[in-house]
Amino acid sequence: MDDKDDFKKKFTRRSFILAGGKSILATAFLSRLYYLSILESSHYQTLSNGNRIRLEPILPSRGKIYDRTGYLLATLRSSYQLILNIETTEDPASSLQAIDHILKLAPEKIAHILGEIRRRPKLSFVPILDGLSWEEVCKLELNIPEIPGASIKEGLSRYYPEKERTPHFIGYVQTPSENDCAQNSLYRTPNLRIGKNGLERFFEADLAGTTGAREIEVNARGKMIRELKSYAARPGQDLILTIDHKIQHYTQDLLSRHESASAILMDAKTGHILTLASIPTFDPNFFTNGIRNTEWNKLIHNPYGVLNNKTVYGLYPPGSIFKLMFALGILESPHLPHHYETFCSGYIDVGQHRFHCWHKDGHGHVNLEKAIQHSCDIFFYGLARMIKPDPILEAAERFGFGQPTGIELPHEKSGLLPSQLWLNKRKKKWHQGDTILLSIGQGSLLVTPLQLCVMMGRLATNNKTLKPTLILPSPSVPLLPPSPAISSLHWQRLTKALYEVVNIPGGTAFKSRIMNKSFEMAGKTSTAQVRRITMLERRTHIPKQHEQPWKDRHHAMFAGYAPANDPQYIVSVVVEHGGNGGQVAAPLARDILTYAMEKRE
Amino acid sequence: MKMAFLSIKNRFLSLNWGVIMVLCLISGLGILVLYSAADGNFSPWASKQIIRFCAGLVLLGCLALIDIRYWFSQSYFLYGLSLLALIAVELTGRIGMGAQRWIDLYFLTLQPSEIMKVTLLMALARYFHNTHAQDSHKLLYFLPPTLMIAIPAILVLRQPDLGTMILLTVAGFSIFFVAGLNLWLIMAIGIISITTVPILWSFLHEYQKNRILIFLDPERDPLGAGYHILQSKIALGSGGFLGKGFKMGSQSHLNFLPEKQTDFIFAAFVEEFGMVGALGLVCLYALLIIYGYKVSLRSRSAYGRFLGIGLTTLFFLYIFVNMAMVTGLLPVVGIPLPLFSYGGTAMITVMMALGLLMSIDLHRSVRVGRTHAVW
Repeated sequence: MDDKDDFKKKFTRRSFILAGGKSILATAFLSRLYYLSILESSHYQTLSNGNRIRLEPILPSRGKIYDRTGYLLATLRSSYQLILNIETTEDPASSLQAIDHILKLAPEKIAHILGEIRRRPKLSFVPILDGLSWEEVCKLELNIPEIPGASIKEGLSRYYPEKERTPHFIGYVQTPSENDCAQNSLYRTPNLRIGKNGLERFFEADLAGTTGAREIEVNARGKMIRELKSYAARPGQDLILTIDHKIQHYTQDLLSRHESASAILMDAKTGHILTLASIPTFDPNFFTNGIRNTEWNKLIHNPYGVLNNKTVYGLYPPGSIFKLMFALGILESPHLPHHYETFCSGYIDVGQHRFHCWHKDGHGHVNLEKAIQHSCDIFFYGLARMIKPDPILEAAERFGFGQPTGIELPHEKSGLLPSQLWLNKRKKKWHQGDTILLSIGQGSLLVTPLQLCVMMGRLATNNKTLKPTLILPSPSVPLLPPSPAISSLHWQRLTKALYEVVNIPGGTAFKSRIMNKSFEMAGKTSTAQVRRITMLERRTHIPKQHEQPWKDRHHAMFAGYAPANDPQYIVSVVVEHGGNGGQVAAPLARDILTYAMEKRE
Repeated sequence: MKMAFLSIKNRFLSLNWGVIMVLCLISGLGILVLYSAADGNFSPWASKQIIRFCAGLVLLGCLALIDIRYWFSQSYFLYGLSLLALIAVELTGRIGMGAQRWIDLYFLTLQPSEIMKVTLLMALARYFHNTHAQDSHKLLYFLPPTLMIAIPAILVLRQPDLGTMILLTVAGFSIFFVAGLNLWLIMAIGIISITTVPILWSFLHEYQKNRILIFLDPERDPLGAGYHILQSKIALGSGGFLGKGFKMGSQSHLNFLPEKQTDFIFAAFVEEFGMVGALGLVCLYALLIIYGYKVSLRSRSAYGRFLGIGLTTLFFLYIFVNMAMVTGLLPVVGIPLPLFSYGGTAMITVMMALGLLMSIDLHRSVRVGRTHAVW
């Protein structure tokens, strides 16, 4: 039986080898188990929670915006929204089709909604139509029981009661774009709106508040099992503006007879902006629930720039208003001729160029005050021939040109003050002719209407710390102490000239003077040339403004203040291609100031 | 020969009751998981499983009490019978659509491939029972048993049931190995098997190929077939060391875990009882496997030894393939966890295997002749 014993030994040996193999497999399995349950456990716990927990955001209510008198400029009102509940809809496509029969949906919209459902399987619902009218709600209510998943949800949406009268500085809200969402994943929250322009955008962080959330346990089919936790949303902060809605209302209506214009009324002591008007305008409520294509096209194809807030985005050559900076630059430099006088015959020759005064018969004998009162160009040309531009540019910078004013609006324009640095960058040289153009505020110089207003404010009150603001600070916050911008002697000379512009016969704005002796207006007109007058035209016939196409007409501007002896209000008006500053812009400024004064009393 | 003269009653009393206790413990834990998975209800799974387990225990007892020589004599016959049943399924399966693996006997659905797992091992054990030392060097000597494995393996693969095919082949060859197959021949067979892999691949259905490809690279399809493995790993891993607690498994309760009551029941168990629970269960299974080895090594007859090792290996493979599949070590091949998973057919196979093992244990001193027949 040797054979058999041998066999049995072999069997025993091989059995143990087999058992060894099994032990190796078992060890491999146990290490795997250790890896999953111990080493990687927290990772899988996260995945497991991700499976079962759905975060459902709770939208905070957006902060309201009030004017200085407590009048609501931006509020919330209930709105009706058609939603499709994904949890209870087996076939979203057919539900959408059924809705399409009742209220026409754009094919792109249907495709977009279906894409959204596919991309985000954990969504509980998708919004289909926002801001339903009452008739639409009634129409839907009848049919909704037959459309699986569809329901009408009542919510709050942004509403601007002043409609067309405030959109430029308040801005508007919109559904975040794909780009916004790429930057902030919270923006994917259904029904969220974010500030897209103006204060709504500038103060987005304050107005928006903090989104809350509900932690919901769901099963594999996405059906809610129970609520686990809930974090309340923190509502956004309200804003109180320096705007006076009545003056805003008045100004906006006043300007609307022009194609394109803007006006600012500022408190001379505090820099509070009482009015920030821009024409043409639009109803920001269109944007809240998704602007329809036809509306959008109308807005962007308007040749006068509807969406543009011209007070901070409009760039204009300042024209004659800049003569004040020129005069200042001269006065503030001790070695320059403070008492220069000249004779205006209507033109002046500098080298081989002949420069004309706006008044082709000439102003006769002029000094600084008279040159400002009449806005004589020859006087400034004469000075410009003798000096370098640096003191002028320095003065202009001190009065706020070439830099943002710091108002609480996004992307405020800086304008352009052609400094030496700026010229070097463009590989250009400063010529005498440039100084001559600078002296009457033409050339490459560009300013915004708000900068004009700030400049006039600083000049009128001789306070270089004056800054514009749209937000009403709490009364406890002290104002910056006023600090003189120029010597009081020079200041008196200039303000006297500004007074004469409006109140002494021959001044360019004399016709727009305010008769009320306790509320006299002072200021400076400007008629900024857009198109050069050709030699041929000078010889034959200089076309009248109304004979020219709109685009070629001068910009009519006025910057001023009242009362002249103790400035309370600063005003600046720009009528784009409006013609003569004294004839077009100054009367508007007078009306705004008068209205503000009457309102105060 | 003295065991043969023991009365039924005495045989019954000399059954290894400790092993039966372990069986009850494992099934008890399984029923606990089924109860939890149904949100604390006996229906639909736990109550049925209790009945099946009891029936299975009776089957086990009956098989264990039958004399080993009877099983020896009927080995080829039972193998032939299961092969016929398998062919019958293959023929009717052609008429029906897709994978048809069972014969409907009206009171019970019978899966011939399950029975085949046990009868194949019986036939192989009987074949090698008569082996002489010189036989182990002859290639031709191994041709009949190779065919015994190959024919049902190919039939099963065509059903298609990849898991059963693997179990049949590997458990079958374990008998080759312990029967003393020459090492050179083992290598030769190994090389031949590797070269047949491409041929086998062509036998596979598209979905089986997919399963293997997704196993190799689960990222291929995270929401489709890869979803099973991913969710199972999440369930296992999120259980951690101590588990989420009885009836607290979110993966199984909220239906993220597919097949939580059958093939993936181990994941549902570990989610609630953690690594500690898993280790406990593995220890219980290890006890059964150690018992299987003890029985095999103590058996006086070669038939008992070979069959014992074959059955133990089959049992081990069941457990290992299922657990490895659930933990993502092997592709999803559809092998249930014996005694644990919900379902009747696997219960029958496992109880048959363990019943035979106990029969070998009970009749360990019995001499089995060359072509012995008791009755």
